Amino acid sequence: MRRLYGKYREWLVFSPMDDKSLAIFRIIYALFCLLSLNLYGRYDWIGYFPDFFYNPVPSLASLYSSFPSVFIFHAFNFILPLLALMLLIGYKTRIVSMIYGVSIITMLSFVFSITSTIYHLHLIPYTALIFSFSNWGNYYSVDAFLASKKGRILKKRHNVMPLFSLIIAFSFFTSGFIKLINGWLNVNYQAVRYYLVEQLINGHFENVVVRAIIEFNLPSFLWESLDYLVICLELVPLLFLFNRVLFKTAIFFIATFHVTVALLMDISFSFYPILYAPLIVDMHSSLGVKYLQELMNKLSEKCSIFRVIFFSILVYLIYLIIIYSPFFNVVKWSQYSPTFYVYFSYLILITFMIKSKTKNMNYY
Amino acid sequence: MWLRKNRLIYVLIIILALLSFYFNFFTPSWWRNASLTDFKKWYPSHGYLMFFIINSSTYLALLLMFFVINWKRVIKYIIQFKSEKKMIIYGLIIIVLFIQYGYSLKNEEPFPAIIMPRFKNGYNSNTIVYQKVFILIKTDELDSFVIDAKLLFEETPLIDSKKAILSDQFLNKELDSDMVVWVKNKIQQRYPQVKLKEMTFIKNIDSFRILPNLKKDSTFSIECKTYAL
Repeated sequence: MRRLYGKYREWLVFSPMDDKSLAIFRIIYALFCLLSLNLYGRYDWIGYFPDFFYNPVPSLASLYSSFPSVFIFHAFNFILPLLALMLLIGYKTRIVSMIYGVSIITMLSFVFSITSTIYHLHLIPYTALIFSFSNWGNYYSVDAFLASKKGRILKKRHNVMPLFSLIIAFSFFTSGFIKLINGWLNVNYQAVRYYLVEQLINGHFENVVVRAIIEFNLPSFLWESLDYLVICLELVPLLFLFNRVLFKTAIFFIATFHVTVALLMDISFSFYPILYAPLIVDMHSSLGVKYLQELMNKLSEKCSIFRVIFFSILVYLIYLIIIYSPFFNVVKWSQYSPTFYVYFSYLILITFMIKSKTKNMNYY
Repeated sequence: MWLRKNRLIYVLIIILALLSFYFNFFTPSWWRNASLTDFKKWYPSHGYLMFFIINSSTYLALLLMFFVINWKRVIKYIIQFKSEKKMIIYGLIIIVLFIQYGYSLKNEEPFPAIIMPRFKNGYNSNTIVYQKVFILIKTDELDSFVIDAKLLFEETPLIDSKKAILSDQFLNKELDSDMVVWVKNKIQQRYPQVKLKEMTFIKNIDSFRILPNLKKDSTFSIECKTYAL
């Protein structure tokens, strides 16, 4: 008991990232938000949807009795990339992170109100909200530039890593627990197999890998072991929350699990794997972090504030041209891109896990 | 202090709370549940205002209470606490997480919440339900053809299984005239040359046993709903 208490105390001060690494994470996060075109590309299609289908889950959308005006969704089409860009360049980082998180939650509430189902996207806004209380805007940012110009030191914010790790671990725990109490451990049926066959029979997705697995007719115990494995993977992060090494390993397996699920079951977890980077990647010795820090140091020295603003306006305009161009197909984008984010973010995560021979100079 | 010192907000909250209490407990239900049109008919000069006060006084009071709390101080307290306090607060956070999870298990899943989507509680059945919604369309030329209802959502950026959920709605709810026109337009967009006369939504439900070898079960049913176009 005393040992557990000690581990709990240790976990409370768990802070694997320095301010520069946090800033790198902010940049990667904002880049992914922009690359994913803030997930749906455009949201105005919701405004054109008949109110017949309006069936909100208990959320911000429940305050409305029908879909809001299409102009609101158009406004969000403009606001979301602007906020993501402000986050990228680190202008008013704290407040922008909060507004960005709330905006994504608002839009997702309306997306979920169409089918009355919640999808795997909630950790994206939560990350912005949680890290808004951290120092992720203190380096490589316009805020830092303005503060240094005025001779002001940016406020030291709070260590949010324990909260972030708790929220991720708890989210997966809820997923594993519901399976546990609903009989996934019952050897008389195999839930994973059931899901795959159901999706195939109903024609929801056609996947060569899945078809091969189903038709190969694997023995029941193998299917059953998959059920057990899924439950273990999802419950373990919370159980190992206070053990740094085991927790890190568990979260890495979760990231790998996302890729497998995307490949086999066509369930997309968006760019979740990169969100786990602060929990998995060793910032002291990551080669990727080292290169990025060097790059950002060079950019900070060479780039003037006007160049940054010019670049941001350019990116913003290109973004808007892309999403409003007649060639942009929101249906195809949302159909093919989510699985791509999973693979791509996992690849980036793996790249960051490669260790450099020397310790990063900037770490303290 | 965790609360702001603003007398006006407190007075407004008290007034709104009293109004809400009065409307909810001392007025007849038919009056309290009346629509905006009814109120406009009964009170031509201030029907709108009356309806607004009755329906929103509780929410307004709650909203104002949100502004009474000095959030900056609360957040600062939660995050800036040191060692022992920090331990207690994090312990409380864990308890709150479990409470919200327990609530979500008993009720509908809220969003946002710190939970993963439940998705039918993890698919815990051995019986696969195959269901599909079709639309049987009759034309003026006494011809007929069938389309998959999911085709109506071709321009919707949702995955196939979600489109199936949407198709299901046609059988679950009664279509109003606007909705019939919407469906008609969608079909007409696809088949502009056809003159539509009538449409029937057909849902077939077929169940299979997954073990040992996808044996077909005896249950098979069909639901239909017809609308004139």
